[in-house]
Amino acid sequence: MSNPALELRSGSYTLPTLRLFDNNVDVIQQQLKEKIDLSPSLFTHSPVVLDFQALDSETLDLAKLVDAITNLKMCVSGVRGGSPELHDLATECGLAVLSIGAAVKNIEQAPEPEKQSVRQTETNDSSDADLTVTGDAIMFTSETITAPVRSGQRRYTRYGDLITLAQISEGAELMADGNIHIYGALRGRALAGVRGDTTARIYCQNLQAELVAIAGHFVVSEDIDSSLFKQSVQIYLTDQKIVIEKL
Amino acid sequence: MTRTIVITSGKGGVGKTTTSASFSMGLAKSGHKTAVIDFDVGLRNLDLILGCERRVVYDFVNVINEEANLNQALIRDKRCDNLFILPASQTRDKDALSIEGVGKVIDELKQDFDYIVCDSPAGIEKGAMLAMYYADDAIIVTNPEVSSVRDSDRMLGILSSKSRRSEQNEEPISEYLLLTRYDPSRVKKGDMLSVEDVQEILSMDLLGVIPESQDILNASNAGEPVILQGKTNAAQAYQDVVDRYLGEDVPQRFINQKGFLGRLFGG
Repeated sequence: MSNPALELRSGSYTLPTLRLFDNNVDVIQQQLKEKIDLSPSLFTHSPVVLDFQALDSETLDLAKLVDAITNLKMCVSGVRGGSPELHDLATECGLAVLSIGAAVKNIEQAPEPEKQSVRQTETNDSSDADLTVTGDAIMFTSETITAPVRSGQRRYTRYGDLITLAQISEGAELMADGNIHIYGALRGRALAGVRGDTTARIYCQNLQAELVAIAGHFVVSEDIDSSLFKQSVQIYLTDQKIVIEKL
Repeated sequence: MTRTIVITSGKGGVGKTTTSASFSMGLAKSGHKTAVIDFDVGLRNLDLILGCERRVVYDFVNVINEEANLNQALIRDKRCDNLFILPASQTRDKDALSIEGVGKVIDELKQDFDYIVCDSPAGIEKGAMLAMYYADDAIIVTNPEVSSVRDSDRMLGILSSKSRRSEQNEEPISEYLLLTRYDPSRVKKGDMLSVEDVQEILSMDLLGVIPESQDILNASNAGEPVILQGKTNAAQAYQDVVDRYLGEDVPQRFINQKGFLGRLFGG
C-alpha cells in the first residue's frame, strides 16, 4: 500500500467576519477601505467571512462584492446567513456556506443596525467568530517581551495578551487581541483588543503614551489628562469611551 | 576572538566618523591590531579624518568586486602600526555593497585583526544596514537633543531585529551609548538634554561622554584623530571610552561643569 498523501482532520479557526447591513457594494467597499487603511498590516491577506444575517435586502451582487474585497487584499472564505438564493450564489462563486451555529447569541446582543453608522462594517469581532458546531475553544497565546520595544518597531500578539517588562519607546507600537500589560514606561502606542474585544484593557506602570486604543476606540496624548502623565494606570472601555484610571 | 564593532547613530552629523577614527586609533594604540572600514560609499570622509586621503589607491568596493585584494586596499596608519584603514569608494554608491561581499571582507579581516570597526553612514538605508549587519558590538553615537535620541532609538530597534546575530538567534549585539557634543553649561541652563534624560529615554548603559570642543574640529581639519591630542578634554574623553570598552573601570568625566578650581583639583 502506498503512503497516504493526505489526512483529513478537523480544526477550528477564528476568522474575521464582515457583517453586512447594506447591499450597495460601492458603499461597502468604501467603508471597508477606510477600516483597512487604519491598520493595513492587520488585514492584508486575511481571510474573511461574509455575514448576511443582518442584511435586509435579499439581493446582492455577490460576485462584485467578492471582487471588491479581493481588491482590498482580503480573501473571502465563506458566507453565513441570508437567503437560500444567496447561498446558491456563494456556492457558484466557490465560497463555503457556514452554519450559523454558536454565533446566534451574538446577534441578539448586537445593537440595532439603524443605530450604527460606520462601525457597521467592522471586519473583526472575535466574540462571534466561532464557526464550528462543536464550539471548540481556540488556542490562547500570550507573549512576553523583555527587551525595550524601540521606535519604529511593532509587536502584535494574536489571540492573547501582550506583556512587556521593558519600556516602549516613542514611535513604537504594541497591538494585541487581548490585554496589554506594560511594566515600564509607555511612550509609544498601545492598542488592545484590536480584533474588536471591547473588554480588553491596558495596564501600564508609567503612562507617557502617544496613543492608546481599545477595540478601535482611541485617545491621543493631547487628550489624556495631564495629571495622569507618568502615572500607573489602567485603561478600559465603557460606553464606547476610553477611561484612564490611576491604579 | 575578533570583535566587530559598528559605530552608528541613524542621524547624520553627530560624530560617527570622528568617533570611528579616535576609537580605532585608541584600540590600536592599546596594542590591538585594528581595521577600520568606511561604509559611507560615495561620501567618504574617514580617510580625511585619519589624514590618509592621499594614499588611497584601492577601496572597499574594489575589494568586494575582487578588483583588488584586501592587502592592496588596506592603508597602514603612519602614526600607529596596528591601525589599518579600508577606505570607501568615492565614485560609487551604496548599491555597490552586497551582504555577501561585506561578509567575505569581514571574514577575511577576522583572520588577521583583533578589532574591526565599521564606520556607518547616516540613515537606515543599505549602507547603514550592512555596516551593522555583522556587528558583535554597537556604539550608538547620540547628541543630547531629541531628534538624535529618537533616531538612536530607531537604530537600536534595527540592531535588535535586522542584524546577523538576531537573524541567527545568537546572543544579541552589545549596545553602548556614546553621548557626543555634550555641553554641561547648556544642560545646566536647560537648553540641552542631560545624560540622565538620554539614558532614561534610551534605557541603556553609558559608554562615555565626549564634550563639545573646538579641538575636535581642529583635529579633523588637520587629519589627526583627536584622541592623539592628549591634553585636550576630547582626547581624554575618547581615551576613557576606549579603556572602558576594553573592560577597565574608569569613572565618568566631563558630565558636570567644572570651574577653574575644579579643573585644578579634579580628575
